Formats: sequence, C-alpha cells, structure tokens
Amino acid sequence: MKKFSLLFMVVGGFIVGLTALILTALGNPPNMGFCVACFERDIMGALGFHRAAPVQYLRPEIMGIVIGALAAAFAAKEFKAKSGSSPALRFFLGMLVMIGALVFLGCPLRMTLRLGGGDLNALVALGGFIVGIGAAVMFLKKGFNLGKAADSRRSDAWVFPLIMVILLIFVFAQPIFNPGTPVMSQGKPVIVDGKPLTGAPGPIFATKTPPTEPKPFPGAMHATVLASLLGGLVVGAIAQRTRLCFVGGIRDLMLMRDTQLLSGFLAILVTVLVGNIVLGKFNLGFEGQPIAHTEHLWNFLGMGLVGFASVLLGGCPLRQLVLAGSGNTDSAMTVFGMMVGAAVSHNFVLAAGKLPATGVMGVPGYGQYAVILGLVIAIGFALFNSDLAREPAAEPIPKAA
Amino acid sequence: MRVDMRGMSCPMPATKTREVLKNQEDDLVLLVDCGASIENVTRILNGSNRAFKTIEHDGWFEISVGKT
Repeated sequence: MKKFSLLFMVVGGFIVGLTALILTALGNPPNMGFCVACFERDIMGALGFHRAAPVQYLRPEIMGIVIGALAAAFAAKEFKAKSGSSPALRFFLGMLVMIGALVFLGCPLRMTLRLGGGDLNALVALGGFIVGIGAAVMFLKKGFNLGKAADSRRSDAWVFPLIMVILLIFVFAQPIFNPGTPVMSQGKPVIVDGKPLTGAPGPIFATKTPPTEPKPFPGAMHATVLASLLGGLVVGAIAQRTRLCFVGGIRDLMLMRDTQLLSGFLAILVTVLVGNIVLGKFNLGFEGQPIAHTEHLWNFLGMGLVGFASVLLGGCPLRQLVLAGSGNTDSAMTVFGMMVGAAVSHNFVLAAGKLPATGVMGVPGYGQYAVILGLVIAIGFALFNSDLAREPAAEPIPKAA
Repeated sequence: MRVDMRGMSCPMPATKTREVLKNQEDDLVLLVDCGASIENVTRILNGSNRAFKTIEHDGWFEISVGKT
C-alpha cells in the first residue's frame, strides 16, 4: 500500500512534468508550461479586471484543472460540499499568496519548472519558500488552525465549478461584450478624423504583441485551446488523486518526516530538468531567464510570503484549485482571493515586470512594500489563530428550549 | 478515547493523530472525513506498529486503533 502510493505519486509527478514540457513546446511561455498564479492572473486580465495588456488571456488550463479534479473527485466519491473554515480570512490570505507569487513571477509549480529550466533565481526563491514554510510550521506546532469546516449545501459547492464552465464557454464562444463605447463630450460623441472616438472593444481581451516588441508578450504565448484544456484536465485529475501539493511536500517533511508529497515535487523537477536538457532548452544562470528578474531579496521574500501563507491555507495554489473542484468552498474562497489579488497586483503595480525607469525586469517599489506588509499581516493572522494569542471563539448559539 | 477530526483541513488530522498516538491510549477511535487526511492518518498508523481497522461511513471514516 505504502509503496504503491509512492509509485503513484512519482508517476503522477512525471506526467505533470511531461504535460508542462509539452504545453511549452506547443506555445506556452518558456518555463511556464503551467503556472497557477500566472494563469489566474491572465484570466483576470482577459476579463478586464486588470489592465496589464501583456498578460490577458483566458487560460483553459485553469478550467481544465478544476474540471479534471471534479471528475476525479466524483469517480472516487470524494466530492463533498464543505465550508465555514474562516472564509474571509482565507480570501485575504489568497490575495497575499498571489501578491507574493507575482513579485517572484510564479506559483510553486512554476518555481519548480523554472528550476528545471536552469533558472537560478528560482533557487533563491526556493530558499525563501522553505524558510516561509518553516516559519509557518512553527505556528502549526503551536496549534495554529483556521477552524473546522462543516458540511455545506451541494449548490454551494457547485458555484466554483459553474464559474469555470462559464469561463470555458467564453473560451470557445469568444464573445466581445463591449464593442467600444463612444467617448462623449458635452452630450455629443467625440469625432476624430471623421470617425466617432470609442474605447477599446472587450472584454474578453486577448494579448497581442505589438510588432515593435523584440519578444512576444507572455499573454500572447499559448498552446491551442484543446491542448491547454486537455493538459489541465490531466493535471487536475492526477493532482486530485495523488494530493500533489508543493507546500505540503516541504511542510510534511518538516512536521513529521513524511516524504510522500515531496516525492511528487521531486518527480516533476527531475522530469522537467531531464526534458529541458534533452530538448536543449536548459540554460543555467541568473541572467536572461525568461519572464524572471534577478532581484534576489524580492525573489526570496516573495516566495517566502507564498510559502508562509500557503501553509496557513493548508495547500499551494494548485492544491487550492483542486480542492475547490472537489466541493471545498473554503478553497474556492481562497482562489477568488488569489484572483482578486492578481487584479490588485497589476492595478496597483505591485507585480514584477519591466520597470519603466530602467527598462529591465524588476519589482516596483509598491510591490516591495506590499510583500513586507503581507508578511507582517500573515504573521499576525498566524499568531492570533494559534495557542500563543488565540482569539476567543464565538459562543455557540443556545438551542431554544 | 474518541477524536473527532471531521471538518479539519490538512495537516491538522495528521498532526493530531501523531499527538494522540504518543499517549499510547487503548481504545482509540479516530473520525476523519477528507480523502487526503485518511491517507495521511493511515500512513502514520502503518508506521506506528499499531493494529487498526477502518470502517467507511457515509462520507467519513471511523478508525479503531488497537494496542501497541
């Protein structure tokens, strides 16, 4: 039994790694066959919730992961409507996870893929990730928890998968909701060169790379819709069955010397590493890595925030998607929080990107403040939900006599 | 002793199980309801050399743990 589950995990990790390599070969951005944080961010951009034009695309991988996990959960009779473990707190922690991930430029899954591509900035980030997890594990040992979830209504559990189905319909139907509202001045449309001036049509937005750019924008790089969807379905189903979780791997090793989840992470890393070397795409170094920056402190702290907050949430961004597809609405709230966090990151220019002042990739000033503030807030939440300084629980409502 | 861990999210059931196993109590009954947790708890029990029996109920599991 023990050996079987370990083998299952390693094979699962191998397939996830292989899927990432294939999706990159089919057009996804380099070292980004899969990135839960980046792809949720791209979806929010496609829907017009942020205006960072280079990163707007409805990524079918995300919908695929949720629907794949849903199908696997149903097949295993594990789809259960659960809710009520501090949903607002989870929403907020989800936002912090996303802010940290977009300062580093990747979720733990993409960090693994970047490592496998030879990006040493991801190694710095892994250091921060481990330290963040270690710090949160100390709070777990001090009794940290966000309270029990209770059985919920089936329709509650279906909200999140339903939203994914609607997004998938958008992927195939490609509707343009706003054809471009005329710009009005003093009650009359503004005419420029004989034509009425209008806003840009959309959503749904999809990134196009201007011809003046030397490199394509990340949002313009993608595999075909069907390949992306299929890749998502496979990864979602495998992740549901194996319980694959990047945060859980390091956490369980620290907390109870259990290497089950860690073996999945290592299987993905080895697969991607070998695959990149075979394909001649392995490029060891800090400089010139695709969709990355070399600000070590912020790679370290950004991923430190992801690790810390994810342990409080009980799982990495991929695991949250999978749980949300298995009926856990607390995880659905976390994903909603991550998506709002992505919009916040780009609207308020917290996310790493090409800095206008220097023209090189880096972390904007407000992104640096946000990571520090995020760490302080997350540590505060950890403290107030552990035995160190627990808030008194609400009194149960007395039953009527 | 009966330990109801239903509704707990990971890794609470695993850490709680390790905690109660340390006390070496007889007649330990663990209630777990999440798929990942039941696997974690089973792995811990397998490593603890204690006999145990799992009964599946509607959407949750009851694990009776025997003596060392």
